[in-house]
Amino acid sequence: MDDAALLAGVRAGNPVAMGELHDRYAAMVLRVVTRILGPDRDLADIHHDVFVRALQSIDDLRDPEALPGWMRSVAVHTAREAIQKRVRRRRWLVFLSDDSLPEPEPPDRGAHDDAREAVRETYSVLERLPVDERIAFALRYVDGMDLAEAAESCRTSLATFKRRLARAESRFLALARRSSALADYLEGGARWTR
Amino acid sequence: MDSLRRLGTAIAEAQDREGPAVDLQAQRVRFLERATKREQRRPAKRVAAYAVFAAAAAALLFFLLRAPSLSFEIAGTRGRPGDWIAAPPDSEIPIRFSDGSEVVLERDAGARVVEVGSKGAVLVVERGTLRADVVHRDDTEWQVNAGPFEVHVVGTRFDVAWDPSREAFSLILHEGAVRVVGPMGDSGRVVRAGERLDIQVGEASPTSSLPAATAVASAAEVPSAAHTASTEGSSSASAEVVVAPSASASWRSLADKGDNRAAWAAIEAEGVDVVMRRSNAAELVSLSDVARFAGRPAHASAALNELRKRFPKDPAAADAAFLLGRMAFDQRGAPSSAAVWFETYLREKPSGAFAREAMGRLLECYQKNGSNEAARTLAMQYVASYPKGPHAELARRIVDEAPAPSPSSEQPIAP
Repeated sequence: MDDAALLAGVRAGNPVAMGELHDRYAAMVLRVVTRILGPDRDLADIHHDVFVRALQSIDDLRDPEALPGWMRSVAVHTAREAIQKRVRRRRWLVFLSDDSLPEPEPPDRGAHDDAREAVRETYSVLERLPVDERIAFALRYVDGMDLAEAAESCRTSLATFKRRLARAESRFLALARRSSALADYLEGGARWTR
Repeated sequence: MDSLRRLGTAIAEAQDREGPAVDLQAQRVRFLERATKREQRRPAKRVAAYAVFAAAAAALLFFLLRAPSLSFEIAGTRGRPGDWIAAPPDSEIPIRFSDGSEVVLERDAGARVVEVGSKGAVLVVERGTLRADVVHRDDTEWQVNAGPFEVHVVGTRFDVAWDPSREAFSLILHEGAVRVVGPMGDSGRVVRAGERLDIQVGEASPTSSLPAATAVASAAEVPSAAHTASTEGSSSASAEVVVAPSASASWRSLADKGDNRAAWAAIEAEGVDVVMRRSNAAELVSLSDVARFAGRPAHASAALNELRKRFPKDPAAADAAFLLGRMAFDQRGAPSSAAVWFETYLREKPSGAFAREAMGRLLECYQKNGSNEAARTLAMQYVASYPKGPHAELARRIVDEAPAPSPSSEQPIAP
């Protein structure tokens, strides 16, 4: 099924086409939201929301060839909304129950303790960046997207994306160097290259 | 920005190593179910046009949901019933089922998942040891076969081993209860948590009976050393039953006596990871204490993480978060990680025994990592809650010194 047939099938509510849409993009969507959010107990819900939103706005997509990029941008947009919702809730931390706190989950044993610690610390730092800068950083450096692709995913111009990224880099470095778990890596780099 | 590229690559690799955090097949079913409902809400004039699709979707969903057999992954790869699974001599192989149950083949073990249904699966251990952690549900139908024995499971954790060369069957129950059916000529024996059943079939005929009096005994009832009892009766003369306390009993009894060094030695002798996976919530707390007192902070931390991962609803899970925060702060000098743990504790037990200390330490974390606005907010809360607390002076200083937050600042970014 090519993208045009897939798009037509989804618009028509064909369950086979909808299943194909999920099969084709589920892994990519999961990768993008994971790169942006890091370890997160709500990943399954956010992943689901991406496809629900895609379904709700599928009529807006005209060019079938744009489907992969469009799905990526829906994923980014959904992750962005999840972060913003969390930021609003976090202001009431301590006195209000907040199920959206990052899950401090992965047990730190085994051969990859350093990497796990670095993952936690990296996302802890990213949480303190404005949401658009956090996303720019995650797409460019963690997911490894090129600038044009990342800008398209954020539905913004290349120039705007570059400005966000520059701000994100400088804020991230300033904060990360205060973290003993990341400072060594950023300064030395040896532990990442082995 | 080479350093950031290196960091980003390492983060991505670490995430990829952890594997997918979401079951995409389950997500697919969930999405299709939602999509069908959406179609059903379309305006009336389009109903006819989509009737066929809705019916097809309903049929598809009915097919998918009618009797959704469990799926399983072998070391991260989708498995098929009947596959021969052999663990290499130097590592274990995990088998994860879609209902959350997990089975681990220990080194050198061989097994097959011969049947998978909607309520469980049937596994055959052909050699070696299999550790099972079956999620409890009222209608689960799990079965593990080893040699001539069948272990019927409802929901429990146990280890089962079969040595075909010696025809030796071994079962250790960590939680719950199972029924063992074998060449004993009866309807089977119930084995409960804390019990261990060893059977040496030898040259016994398949109909050998297993005397009830010697089949199983609880750990508390048996002497510290394992004892052996031969079965009686003409057809079962060579069947042999060994009853012993479960392995976890030994290190726990040493820990209860305060002999942490000996307890840790017992744990290491059996394998820290093995003991950890077998332990229940209370045992993991105890194991963490033993590791800490024995000077093994990494293992202490790992035990607490394991506790939170496997028993998130247990009251001890929140306390584990507090202890993990303290370790991150005191031993690893990682205030950001520590802050997450303290926040977690306060969220899960806002009036818990460690609430005051957690809030005070969280205040220190915010101060150390430059979260000035969060520190100021928390400092005000601390002073209001604990005006004479050990962190009250620090909290007042933060409130007095910090500038009021800018209404336009979205995130607290330190200068």
